[in-house]
Amino acid sequence: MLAIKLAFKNLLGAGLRTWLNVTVLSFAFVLMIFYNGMIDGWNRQSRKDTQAWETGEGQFWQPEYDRYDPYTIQDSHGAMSEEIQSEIAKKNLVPVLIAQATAYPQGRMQGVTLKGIDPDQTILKLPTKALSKTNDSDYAMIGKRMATSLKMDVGDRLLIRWRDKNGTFDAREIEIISVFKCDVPSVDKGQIFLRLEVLQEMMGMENEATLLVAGENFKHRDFKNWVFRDQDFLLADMDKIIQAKKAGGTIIQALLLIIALIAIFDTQVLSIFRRQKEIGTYIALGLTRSQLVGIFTVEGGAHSILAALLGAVYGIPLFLWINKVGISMNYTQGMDIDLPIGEAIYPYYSLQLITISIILVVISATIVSYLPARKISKMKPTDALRGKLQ
Amino acid sequence: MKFLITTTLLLCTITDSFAQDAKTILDKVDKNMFSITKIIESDMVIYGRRNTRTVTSKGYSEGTDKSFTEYLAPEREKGTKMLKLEDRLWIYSPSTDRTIQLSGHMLRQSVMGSDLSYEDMMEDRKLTEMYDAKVIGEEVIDGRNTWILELTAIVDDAAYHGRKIWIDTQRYIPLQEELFAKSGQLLKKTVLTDVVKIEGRWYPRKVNYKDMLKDGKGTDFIIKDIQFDAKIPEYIFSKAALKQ
Amino acid sequence: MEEKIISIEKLVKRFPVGKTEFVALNNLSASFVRGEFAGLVGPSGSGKTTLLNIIGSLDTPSEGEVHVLDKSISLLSHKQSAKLRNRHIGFIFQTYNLLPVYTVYENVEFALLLQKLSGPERKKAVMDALEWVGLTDKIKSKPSMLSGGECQRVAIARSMVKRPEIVLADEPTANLDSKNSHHILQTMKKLNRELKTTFIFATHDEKVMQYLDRIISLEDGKVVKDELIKNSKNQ
Ligand SMILES: Nc1ncnc2c1ncn2[C@@H]1O[C@H](COP(=O)(O)OP(=O)(O)O)[C@@H](O)[C@H]1O
Ligand SMILES: [Mg+2]
Repeated sequence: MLAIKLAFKNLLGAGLRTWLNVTVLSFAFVLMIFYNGMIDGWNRQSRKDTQAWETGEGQFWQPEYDRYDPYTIQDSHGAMSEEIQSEIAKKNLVPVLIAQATAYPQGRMQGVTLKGIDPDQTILKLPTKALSKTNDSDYAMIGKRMATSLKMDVGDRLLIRWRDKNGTFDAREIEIISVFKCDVPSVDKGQIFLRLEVLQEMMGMENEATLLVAGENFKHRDFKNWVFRDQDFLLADMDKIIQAKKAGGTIIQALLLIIALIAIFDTQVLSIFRRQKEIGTYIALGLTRSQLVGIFTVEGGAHSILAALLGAVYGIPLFLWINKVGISMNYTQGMDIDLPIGEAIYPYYSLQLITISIILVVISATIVSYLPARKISKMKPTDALRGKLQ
Repeated sequence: MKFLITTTLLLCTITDSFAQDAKTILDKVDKNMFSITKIIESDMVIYGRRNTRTVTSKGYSEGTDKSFTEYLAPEREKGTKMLKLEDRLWIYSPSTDRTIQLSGHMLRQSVMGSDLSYEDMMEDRKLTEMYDAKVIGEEVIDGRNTWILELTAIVDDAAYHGRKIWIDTQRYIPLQEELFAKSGQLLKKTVLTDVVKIEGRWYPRKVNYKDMLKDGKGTDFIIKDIQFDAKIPEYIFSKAALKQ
Repeated sequence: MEEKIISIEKLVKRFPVGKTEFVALNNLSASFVRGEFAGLVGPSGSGKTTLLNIIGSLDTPSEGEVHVLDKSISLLSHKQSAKLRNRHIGFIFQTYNLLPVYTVYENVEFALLLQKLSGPERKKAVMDALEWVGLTDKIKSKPSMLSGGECQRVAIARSMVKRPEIVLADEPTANLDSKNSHHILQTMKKLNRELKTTFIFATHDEKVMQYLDRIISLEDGKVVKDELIKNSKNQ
């Protein structure tokens, strides 16, 4: 208690130098929380978006299906039993048939994935309603990214070639009836959405699907020949990417923290050198050397408490404001990012994040304060009093 | 390579000057293929959007079951060897010193970036087994009289649902072929030219193969040297030959 | 009989200087009894400060025995010597050595913080000490706002607040003018009389000598004269 009281007295007494250190440390602190909060917020948003647009409440897959291996698609289709049909009718499941094809936009050749889906589905946020318009034309819906990569817009016609279930080539022109905007690249990139029956007919795969997306009201049960994939499985890779992004950010944070810690270390070394006489006086007053080491360590470490307080003073209003307006992500448009990314990110600060950050900063500041303070225990009191140490 | 297959599939060396029905014509095309051995040195010219690449290779074949190809140029492909035995295909790459067997979906990949897939090279069923054929007319191509044959698949796993083949009425060699999708969409076109007499046979020295949905000039095969019925040692058609 | 609280026997203190050693105290013996108002007098470099430091357990003898309150200085651990200083010995320095970030009150209070005293007890002790030195009106001031004399009075209050047996004052007047010097000496003399605190000075200031009961003259680390003074100002 005494040490803490003394520490703050001394720190505040040291004035400008203390506040410089505290300010730099508080930047490290605020940035650390902000960056991680941003990533966490992004993560939550991405998960939410991906769930809404793509994964639903989990999916049933054909056993061979592997979303990262396009070669498995050819064999990943299976009939939907009556049981499944009734769930589909109750809008608890939505079937998706997936096929590979080649598109020929402007005489170029481009591999695409065809996805057949029920236009009246309500489980996914995909605006499939657009496909409900039937006509002589085969209507298709694509995402904005895909529209950009194909250089196509609503009303344009696109020649696609595919192989049916027997491997026989077929080709026809489809018309783009709608271009949707979606924050989740994985439901957009390289994909063309068609009506389920259209794709089933094209492939010769009547009443077949590659996967079934479960909706909120689906009561979980198993279906023969279908493998259930839960959220954790479906989002695992996204989590990994986000963790990697987090790791990437630690470099900047670590750098800032190190600068702040070096400043504290430096201040400690200097202050122990300049305050020899004071140290000698403390000893004369009866403090033991280990008490002194403690006092100086706490004093240095207390920078971190002040930094947390200072950080809170400008950080909390800043965070609140950011969370109101969001962080604009417009600059990422046109960038090739494989994560769902909204127009704005709303950081999420968990108690855990804040606690860990505080502990990290306090511990590291205490350590760098302790290292120079150990020197005190080697001081001779008489030398200290004379202020003659080098 | 496509040249190899196309020719083994389509070239008929037995001349018959009488007009015949389509099946008979195709039978002639299919006939005697298995007994023929060939050694062909060829250039494959791949016309890309920006550049043109030439790949030189030497191919040995016996019937339609066995073929062995060794790439000679460019430097990057040099030493790559390919062995086909019936429906199996191996590729040896000198850079990794490994032999891999291509299967399933890998066969749909393009051969060295050309307009051809490995699968195109693998099809060795006889046309008459896969297609119902009829003569739908005659046409003069480059001054040669041809029959136009229309083929419609009778098996349901043919890659191309329909084909049209133009066959020289006198020399019994195809001069042109078109491949169609189920919908009737023209997908690919093969044009055979520079027909010359080699060792007593008429043979097209140049074949252009083109994906009709794509812009560009497609891929050319140009025969630099061809030997018929040469003796090919049996070990050539073994996996051991790949590593040599 | 008078109680002997400090005894020094054949004390030698050597300091390493380069490769050789410098003898600062040379076979010095002396003793002090409770309530003395004594001074170590001698030219600069004669060993006054060195002797005070050893008595205050800030330094240790190279040879010989020094007992303070029946404790042998050579045998004390760091902790024990800290406790001795904290409970029983007060220091007054030439340069006051006040803690600059603390107020007058806190500077004095600090000496008590290591002792287990209740808040009110501590407050009373601090106020008493400040009253002895006449500084009750400046308790909220920082040392930088005080004159030299006032600072030294704070230092006296700090050394006295825990009512130690011994106060060691190293050149306490060296930085003070004569009026202030007399003032603090009178204060100390008064405390000496009222609280029976033993004062040992290191000085070469004539003004200080006028107040001393006993003058021990040092030269080159040896006692050259040890005399009791009868007719000094304190009578
Ligand atoms: N730590 C030390 N190392 C070396 N010499 C010292 C040390 N402390 C004191 N001395 C020497 O011992 C002698 C006595 O010093 P000191 O006790 O300070 O004298 P005084 O207080 O009488 O002026 C001086 O010559 C001084 O230089
Ligand atoms: Mg001195």
